[in-house]
Amino acid sequence: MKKIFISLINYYQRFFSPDHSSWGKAKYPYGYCRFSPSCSEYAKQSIAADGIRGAVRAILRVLRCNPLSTPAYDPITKKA
Amino acid sequence: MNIFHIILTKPLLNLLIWFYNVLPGSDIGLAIIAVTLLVRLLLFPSFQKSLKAQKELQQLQPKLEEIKAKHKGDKEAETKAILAFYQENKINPFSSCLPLLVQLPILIALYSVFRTGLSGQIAGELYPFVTNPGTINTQLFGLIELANPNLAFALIAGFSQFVQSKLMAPKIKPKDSTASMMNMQFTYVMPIITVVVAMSLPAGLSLYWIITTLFAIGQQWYIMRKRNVNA
Repeated sequence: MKKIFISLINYYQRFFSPDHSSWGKAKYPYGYCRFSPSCSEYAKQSIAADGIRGAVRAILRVLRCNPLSTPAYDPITKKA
Repeated sequence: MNIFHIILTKPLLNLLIWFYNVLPGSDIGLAIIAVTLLVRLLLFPSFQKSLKAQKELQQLQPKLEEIKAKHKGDKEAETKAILAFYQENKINPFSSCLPLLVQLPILIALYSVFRTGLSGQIAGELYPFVTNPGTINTQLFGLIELANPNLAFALIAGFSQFVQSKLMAPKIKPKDSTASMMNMQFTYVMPIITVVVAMSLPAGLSLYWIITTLFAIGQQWYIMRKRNVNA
Protein backbone atom coordinates (compact mmCIF):
# COMPACT_ATOMS: atom_id res chain seq x y z
CA MET A 1 0.00 0.00 0.00
CA LYS A 2 2.75 2.40 1.03
CA LYS A 3 4.65 1.48 -2.08
CA ILE A 4 1.66 2.13 -4.34
CA PHE A 5 1.14 5.60 -2.94
CA ILE A 6 4.80 6.46 -3.12
CA SER A 7 5.06 5.34 -6.73
CA LEU A 8 1.95 7.38 -7.54
CA ILE A 9 3.65 10.42 -6.03
CA ASN A 10 6.79 9.65 -8.01
CA TYR A 11 4.71 9.53 -11.15
CA TYR A 12 3.06 12.83 -10.25
CA GLN A 13 6.44 14.44 -9.58
CA ARG A 14 7.80 13.26 -12.87
CA PHE A 15 5.03 14.43 -15.12
CA PHE A 16 2.67 16.83 -13.38
CA SER A 17 4.37 18.56 -10.48
CA PRO A 18 5.16 22.26 -11.01
CA ASP A 19 8.06 21.76 -8.61
CA HIS A 20 9.68 18.54 -9.79
CA SER A 21 8.74 17.82 -13.39
CA SER A 22 10.86 19.15 -16.20
CA TRP A 23 8.16 21.47 -17.51
CA GLY A 24 7.59 22.71 -13.96
CA LYS A 25 11.27 23.49 -13.52
CA ALA A 26 11.19 25.40 -16.79
CA LYS A 27 8.09 27.36 -15.92
CA TYR A 28 8.80 27.95 -12.25
CA PRO A 29 12.59 27.98 -11.93
CA TYR A 30 12.34 29.27 -8.36
CA GLY A 31 9.88 26.67 -7.21
CA TYR A 32 6.13 26.62 -7.03
CA CYS A 33 5.21 25.41 -3.58
CA ARG A 34 5.52 27.92 -0.75
CA PHE A 35 6.99 25.36 1.57
CA SER A 36 10.22 23.49 1.46
CA PRO A 37 10.25 20.53 0.96
CA SER A 38 7.39 20.78 -1.51
CA CYS A 39 4.03 19.26 -0.66
CA SER A 40 4.55 16.16 -2.78
CA GLU A 41 8.03 15.57 -1.42
CA TYR A 42 6.66 16.07 2.09
CA ALA A 43 3.89 13.57 1.41
CA LYS A 44 6.37 11.05 0.08
CA GLN A 45 8.63 11.28 3.11
CA SER A 46 5.68 11.34 5.46
CA ILE A 47 4.02 8.24 4.02
CA ALA A 48 7.32 6.41 3.86
CA ALA A 49 7.88 7.14 7.54
CA ASP A 50 4.41 6.64 9.04
CA GLY A 51 2.04 5.08 6.49
CA ILE A 52 -1.61 6.06 6.96
CA ARG A 53 -0.88 8.55 9.73
CA GLY A 54 1.77 10.02 7.51
CA ALA A 55 -0.81 10.41 4.76
CA VAL A 56 -3.09 12.31 7.12
CA ARG A 57 -0.20 14.59 7.99
CA ALA A 58 0.45 15.14 4.29
CA ILE A 59 -3.18 16.13 3.70
CA LEU A 60 -2.95 18.65 6.53
CA ARG A 61 0.17 20.02 4.90
CA VAL A 62 -1.60 20.57 1.58
CA LEU A 63 -4.42 22.35 3.42
CA ARG A 64 -1.78 24.53 5.05
CA CYS A 65 -0.31 25.30 1.66
CA ASN A 66 -2.76 28.06 0.75
CA PRO A 67 -2.30 31.70 -0.25
CA LEU A 68 -2.76 32.88 3.33
CA SER A 69 0.14 31.01 4.87
CA THR A 70 3.70 32.27 5.09
CA PRO A 71 6.33 30.44 3.03
CA ALA A 72 8.62 28.48 5.31
CA TYR A 73 11.02 25.64 5.72
CA ASP A 74 8.66 22.96 6.97
CA PRO A 75 10.11 19.45 7.12
CA ILE A 76 8.25 16.52 8.64
CA THR A 77 8.72 16.14 12.35
CA LYS A 78 9.45 12.70 13.73
CA LYS A 79 6.07 11.79 15.25
CA ALA A 80 2.95 11.66 13.13
CA MET B 1 -25.64 10.94 -6.25
CA ASN B 2 -22.26 11.68 -4.87
CA ILE B 3 -20.82 14.92 -3.57
CA PHE B 4 -18.64 15.50 -6.62
CA HIS B 5 -21.74 15.40 -8.78
CA ILE B 6 -23.75 17.77 -6.58
CA ILE B 7 -21.16 20.49 -6.08
CA LEU B 8 -19.34 20.36 -9.44
CA THR B 9 -20.84 18.40 -12.29
CA LYS B 10 -24.47 19.41 -11.82
CA PRO B 11 -23.93 23.20 -11.52
CA LEU B 12 -21.59 23.15 -14.52
CA LEU B 13 -24.06 21.13 -16.57
CA ASN B 14 -26.79 23.62 -15.72
CA LEU B 15 -24.49 26.45 -16.71
CA LEU B 16 -23.85 24.73 -20.03
CA ILE B 17 -27.55 24.25 -20.77
CA TRP B 18 -28.28 27.80 -19.63
CA PHE B 19 -25.75 29.11 -22.14
CA TYR B 20 -27.27 26.80 -24.73
CA ASN B 21 -30.68 28.36 -24.12
CA VAL B 22 -29.46 31.94 -23.96
CA LEU B 23 -26.88 32.12 -26.75
CA PRO B 24 -28.24 32.63 -30.26
CA GLY B 25 -28.50 29.70 -32.65
CA SER B 26 -29.07 26.93 -30.05
CA ASP B 27 -25.52 25.76 -30.60
CA ILE B 28 -23.91 23.40 -28.07
CA GLY B 29 -20.53 24.35 -29.55
CA LEU B 30 -20.97 27.98 -28.57
CA ALA B 31 -22.16 26.92 -25.12
CA ILE B 32 -19.04 24.76 -24.67
CA ILE B 33 -16.83 27.69 -25.69
CA ALA B 34 -18.66 30.01 -23.28
CA VAL B 35 -18.36 27.65 -20.30
CA THR B 36 -14.69 26.97 -21.02
CA LEU B 37 -13.84 30.66 -21.24
CA LEU B 38 -15.79 31.46 -18.09
CA VAL B 39 -14.06 28.78 -16.03
CA ARG B 40 -10.68 29.80 -17.40
CA LEU B 41 -11.35 33.44 -16.54
CA LEU B 42 -12.27 32.47 -12.98
CA LEU B 43 -9.01 30.57 -12.63
CA PHE B 44 -7.10 33.42 -14.29
CA PRO B 45 -5.99 35.49 -11.25
CA SER B 46 -4.09 32.61 -9.62
CA PHE B 47 -2.18 31.90 -12.85
CA GLN B 48 -1.51 35.57 -13.38
CA LYS B 49 -0.04 36.23 -9.95
CA SER B 50 2.45 33.40 -10.08
CA LEU B 51 3.59 34.30 -13.60
CA LYS B 52 4.18 37.89 -12.53
CA ALA B 53 6.24 36.93 -9.50
CA GLN B 54 8.34 34.61 -11.66
CA LYS B 55 9.05 37.54 -13.92
CA GLU B 56 10.22 39.78 -11.08
CA LEU B 57 12.44 37.03 -9.82
CA GLN B 58 14.25 36.72 -13.09
CA GLN B 59 15.68 40.18 -12.52
CA LEU B 60 16.98 39.20 -9.09
CA GLN B 61 18.48 35.93 -10.21
CA PRO B 62 22.19 36.82 -9.84
CA LYS B 63 21.71 37.58 -6.15
CA LEU B 64 19.79 34.37 -5.68
CA GLU B 65 22.58 32.36 -7.25
CA GLU B 66 24.98 33.99 -4.78
CA ILE B 67 22.87 32.88 -1.84
CA LYS B 68 22.60 29.37 -3.22
CA ALA B 69 26.36 29.11 -3.66
CA LYS B 70 26.95 30.35 -0.14
CA HIS B 71 24.80 27.69 1.48
CA LYS B 72 25.68 24.87 -0.80
CA GLY B 73 24.88 21.45 0.65
CA ASP B 74 22.77 22.76 3.49
CA LYS B 75 19.23 22.70 2.20
CA GLU B 76 17.71 24.05 5.40
CA ALA B 77 20.01 27.07 5.67
CA GLU B 78 19.64 27.75 1.97
CA THR B 79 15.86 27.75 2.11
CA LYS B 80 15.86 30.02 5.14
CA ALA B 81 18.26 32.48 3.52
CA ILE B 82 16.23 32.56 0.31
CA LEU B 83 12.98 33.14 2.16
CA ALA B 84 14.60 36.01 4.08
CA PHE B 85 15.82 37.42 0.78
CA TYR B 86 12.30 37.32 -0.65
CA GLN B 87 11.00 39.14 2.39
CA GLU B 88 13.60 41.88 2.07
CA ASN B 89 12.65 42.43 -1.55
CA LYS B 90 8.95 42.21 -0.74
CA ILE B 91 8.21 39.54 -3.27
CA ASN B 92 6.41 36.27 -2.90
CA PRO B 93 7.17 34.06 -5.83
CA PHE B 94 5.31 31.11 -4.47
CA SER B 95 1.98 29.77 -5.35
CA SER B 96 0.42 27.16 -3.18
CA CYS B 97 -0.62 23.60 -3.62
CA LEU B 98 -4.20 23.82 -2.39
CA PRO B 99 -5.56 25.98 -5.26
CA LEU B 100 -3.79 23.67 -7.70
CA LEU B 101 -5.58 20.67 -6.25
CA VAL B 102 -8.89 22.53 -6.38
CA GLN B 103 -8.53 23.26 -10.10
CA LEU B 104 -7.99 19.67 -11.09
CA PRO B 105 -11.47 18.38 -10.16
CA ILE B 106 -13.04 21.36 -11.95
CA LEU B 107 -11.28 20.47 -15.18
CA ILE B 108 -12.24 16.80 -14.83
CA ALA B 109 -15.84 17.80 -14.13
CA LEU B 110 -15.92 19.96 -17.26
CA TYR B 111 -14.94 16.97 -19.31
CA SER B 112 -17.81 14.85 -18.05
CA VAL B 113 -20.25 17.75 -18.26
CA PHE B 114 -19.53 18.26 -21.95
CA ARG B 115 -19.87 14.56 -22.53
CA THR B 116 -23.28 14.53 -20.88
CA GLY B 117 -24.36 17.70 -22.69
CA LEU B 118 -23.43 16.23 -26.05
CA SER B 119 -25.19 12.95 -25.36
CA GLY B 120 -28.35 14.88 -24.51
CA GLN B 121 -29.04 12.86 -21.37
CA ILE B 122 -29.88 15.83 -19.20
CA ALA B 123 -33.37 14.98 -17.99
CA GLY B 124 -33.62 15.27 -14.21
CA GLU B 125 -30.27 17.05 -13.98
CA LEU B 126 -31.54 20.58 -14.45
CA TYR B 127 -32.42 23.12 -11.78
CA PRO B 128 -36.00 24.46 -11.85
CA PHE B 129 -34.95 27.81 -13.38
CA VAL B 130 -33.10 26.23 -16.30
CA THR B 131 -35.52 25.22 -19.04
CA ASN B 132 -34.99 21.89 -20.71
CA PRO B 133 -34.36 22.59 -24.38
CA GLY B 134 -35.63 19.16 -25.34
CA THR B 135 -33.33 17.78 -27.99
CA ILE B 136 -29.88 19.31 -28.17
CA ASN B 137 -28.45 20.52 -31.44
CA THR B 138 -24.94 19.10 -31.40
CA GLN B 139 -23.60 21.00 -34.39
CA LEU B 140 -21.20 23.91 -34.31
CA PHE B 141 -22.46 26.71 -36.60
CA GLY B 142 -24.69 24.04 -38.17
CA LEU B 143 -21.62 22.61 -39.88
CA ILE B 144 -19.56 20.41 -37.62
CA GLU B 145 -21.09 17.52 -35.73
CA LEU B 146 -19.68 17.70 -32.21
CA ALA B 147 -21.09 14.45 -30.86
CA ASN B 148 -18.91 12.39 -33.21
CA PRO B 149 -15.13 12.28 -33.42
CA ASN B 150 -13.61 14.76 -35.85
CA LEU B 151 -10.11 14.31 -37.24
CA ALA B 152 -9.54 17.99 -38.05
CA PHE B 153 -10.45 19.03 -34.50
CA ALA B 154 -8.17 16.37 -33.06
CA LEU B 155 -5.29 17.63 -35.20
CA ILE B 156 -5.92 21.27 -34.24
CA ALA B 157 -6.01 20.28 -30.56
CA GLY B 158 -2.66 18.51 -30.90
CA PHE B 159 -1.12 21.35 -32.84
CA SER B 160 -2.21 24.07 -30.42
CA GLN B 161 -0.78 22.00 -27.59
CA PHE B 162 2.48 21.73 -29.50
CA VAL B 163 2.58 25.52 -29.90
CA GLN B 164 1.93 25.95 -26.22
CA SER B 165 4.74 23.67 -25.08
CA LYS B 166 7.07 25.33 -27.58
CA LEU B 167 6.25 28.65 -25.97
CA MET B 168 6.70 27.23 -22.50
CA ALA B 169 10.01 25.53 -23.19
CA PRO B 170 12.97 27.13 -21.42
CA LYS B 171 15.17 29.49 -23.41
CA ILE B 172 18.31 27.92 -22.03
CA LYS B 173 18.72 24.23 -22.79
CA PRO B 174 18.93 22.25 -19.56
CA LYS B 175 22.33 20.71 -19.02
CA ASP B 176 21.50 17.21 -17.93
CA SER B 177 20.22 14.90 -20.61
CA THR B 178 17.24 13.43 -18.73
CA ALA B 179 15.73 16.90 -18.35
CA SER B 180 16.11 17.73 -22.01
CA MET B 181 14.70 14.33 -22.93
CA MET B 182 11.65 15.11 -20.83
CA ASN B 183 11.28 18.47 -22.52
CA MET B 184 11.44 16.76 -25.89
CA GLN B 185 8.77 14.33 -24.79
CA PHE B 186 6.51 17.10 -23.62
CA THR B 187 6.89 19.10 -26.78
CA TYR B 188 6.49 16.28 -29.29
CA VAL B 189 4.99 13.21 -27.67
CA MET B 190 2.20 14.77 -25.62
CA PRO B 191 0.56 16.53 -28.59
CA ILE B 192 0.60 13.25 -30.50
CA ILE B 193 -1.09 11.50 -27.59
CA THR B 194 -3.65 14.30 -27.56
CA VAL B 195 -4.41 13.73 -31.24
CA VAL B 196 -4.75 9.98 -30.77
CA VAL B 197 -7.05 10.32 -27.77
CA ALA B 198 -9.08 13.15 -29.33
CA MET B 199 -9.64 11.11 -32.48
CA SER B 200 -11.81 8.70 -30.54
CA LEU B 201 -13.68 11.27 -28.44
CA PRO B 202 -16.63 13.48 -29.41
CA ALA B 203 -15.37 16.57 -31.25
CA GLY B 204 -17.00 18.74 -28.56
CA LEU B 205 -14.30 17.61 -26.15
CA SER B 206 -11.57 18.43 -28.67
CA LEU B 207 -13.19 21.83 -28.99
CA TYR B 208 -12.92 22.25 -25.22
CA TRP B 209 -9.26 21.27 -25.35
CA ILE B 210 -8.56 23.69 -28.21
CA ILE B 211 -10.20 26.63 -26.41
CA THR B 212 -8.38 25.88 -23.16
CA THR B 213 -5.02 25.67 -24.90
CA LEU B 214 -5.59 28.80 -26.97
CA PHE B 215 -6.51 30.62 -23.78
CA ALA B 216 -3.26 29.49 -22.15
CA ILE B 217 -1.26 30.53 -25.20
CA GLY B 218 -2.88 33.98 -25.19
CA GLN B 219 -2.13 34.38 -21.51
CA GLN B 220 1.47 33.40 -21.96
CA TRP B 221 1.90 35.64 -24.96
CA TYR B 222 0.44 38.55 -22.98
CA ILE B 223 2.90 38.05 -20.12
CA MET B 224 5.89 37.69 -22.43
CA ARG B 225 4.97 40.82 -24.35
CA LYS B 226 4.77 42.79 -21.11
CA ARG B 227 8.17 41.50 -20.07
CA ASN B 228 9.71 42.75 -23.30
CA VAL B 229 8.20 46.20 -22.79
CA ASN B 230 9.71 46.42 -19.30
CA ALA B 231 13.15 45.26 -20.32
